[in-house]
Amino acid sequence: MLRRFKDKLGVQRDRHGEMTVADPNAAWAVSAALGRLHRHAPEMARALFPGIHGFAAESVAQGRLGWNPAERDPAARAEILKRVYLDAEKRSFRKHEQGLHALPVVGGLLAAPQTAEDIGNVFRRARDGDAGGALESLVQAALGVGLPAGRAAGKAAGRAGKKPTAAHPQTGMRDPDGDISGIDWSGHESTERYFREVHRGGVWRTRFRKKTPTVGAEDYKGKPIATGGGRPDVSVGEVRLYKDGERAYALKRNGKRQYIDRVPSRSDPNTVWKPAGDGGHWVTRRLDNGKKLTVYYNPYNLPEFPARGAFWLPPEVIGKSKGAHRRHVMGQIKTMTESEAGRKKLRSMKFSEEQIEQMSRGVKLDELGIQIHHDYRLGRMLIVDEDFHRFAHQGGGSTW
Amino acid sequence: MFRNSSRMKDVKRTSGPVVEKWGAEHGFVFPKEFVSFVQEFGGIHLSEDWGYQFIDEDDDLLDFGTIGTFFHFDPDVWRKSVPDEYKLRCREHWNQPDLVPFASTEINTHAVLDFRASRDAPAVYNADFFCASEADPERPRMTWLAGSFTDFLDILEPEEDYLARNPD
Repeated sequence: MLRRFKDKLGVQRDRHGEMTVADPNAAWAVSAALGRLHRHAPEMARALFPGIHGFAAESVAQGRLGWNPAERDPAARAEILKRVYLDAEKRSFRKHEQGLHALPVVGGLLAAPQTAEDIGNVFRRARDGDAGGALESLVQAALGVGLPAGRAAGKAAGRAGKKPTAAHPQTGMRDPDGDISGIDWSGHESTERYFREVHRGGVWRTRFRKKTPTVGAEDYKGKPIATGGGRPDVSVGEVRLYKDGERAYALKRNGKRQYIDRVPSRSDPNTVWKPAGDGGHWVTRRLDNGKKLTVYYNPYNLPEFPARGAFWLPPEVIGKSKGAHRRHVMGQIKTMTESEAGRKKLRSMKFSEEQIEQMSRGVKLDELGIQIHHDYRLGRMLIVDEDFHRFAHQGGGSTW
Repeated sequence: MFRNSSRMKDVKRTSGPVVEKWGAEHGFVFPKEFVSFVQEFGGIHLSEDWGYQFIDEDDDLLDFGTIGTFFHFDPDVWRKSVPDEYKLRCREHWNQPDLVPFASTEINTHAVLDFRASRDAPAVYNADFFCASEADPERPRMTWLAGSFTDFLDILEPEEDYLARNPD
């Protein structure tokens, strides 16, 4: 039976050395399942599949699988799986190939993670060819991993006589790999969820009471950004924020996770943290000159700086260096100083006439006490007063 | 590089001993070239687009840090001072007491003296205090720029030269 599943689910090389995927949809589901195991119980995944977590699990956890609906196409899935497994070969695929055969088995258990011992037992039985009825049902459950997690969990756990575990506890937006029901794993879904659950709450906007003057949103927001390497595109303005337990992270365009841990110190006597009531916090800092400033940190530990203005970057600039981002914004500002409409916009960003004159001569924002901050919304650059930017924070550019 | 540059409002030139004393209090011996430089140029905003090229430690992108300000040691002005930036970046935000920021760039990175290997012969790094290193999350992302402060001054160049070599 294992041979059958290996043939059916495996991504392997044929006798000509070409990589093949027998059943992309099934292999996809199994890889995704291993990813979830890795997310729920990384130690267990590592113990069971040393080496494998490095490609399949991480690939799923980091979003390399399940980027957008286009990947529902079996051909697209096959190509991505080949790439993932090619990576694996470069690492230790051969050494751990045996473990791959048990993936469907483990997959059946993933929606309701059991103990390492339980999975280990099944794994050993699978490896030894002792595949009984229970194993068969688990494999069937594995093939149903694409179904809502609760159903797959109930089925797998029911046959095995185990009680399904509770849903992964989450606050704020759900972890895409934690509770997958109803989540299509695309960046669009993540963005919409973020704006529904966090952004439109608008706690900080109530506090700061202003709308940020914006440049370029109508031109660039929503435009696709080519990611390259065969990955589906993402779009300008996309937000990919998730939680792994209590730890927040962003999914970068390259599929890597960027954990968001940089926040002002809670032990600093000059800093006060207060819950904002929506999972975020108000952080107040007393500066050396006695002035007190407050910044709202959203539930993903990212600051919502009260900005003077926002500049959206064109898709083709986003993938370039931070220096290129700066040059684009400074070029925009310089151009704005050359027309009355532009100057009006700069005035709405609370720049004085003198400052606008200075900017027309090419003064650096640093000299004006202003910083260009990479927002976590992909492609959005904020013009932020230096005093605010001194708050410890994760650079938004690192989440792009 | 310093053509049309301006000194920050209220910032005075500081004497060498003031700079050296701050260093000694923190266990550093600043190189003589550094002391001379900050005496003369501490608190200067650069009008010209000068800076240095580097490759981000984790993003692997060639970039150019355009220097905005060289920090100063005037004890009466906290903004853009080495002591303030050191306290904020290397003691409050991070526990990296052997790094001393001395210039900011317009892309939110800093040029820092790195005393980790030597108390009197620091190397110079670009440090991104807003991103943790993947290799060592306890420190910011850092890229080696030069083996000494003098060598660092040698690598500074106009941004247009960098762009001529590496067009956007």
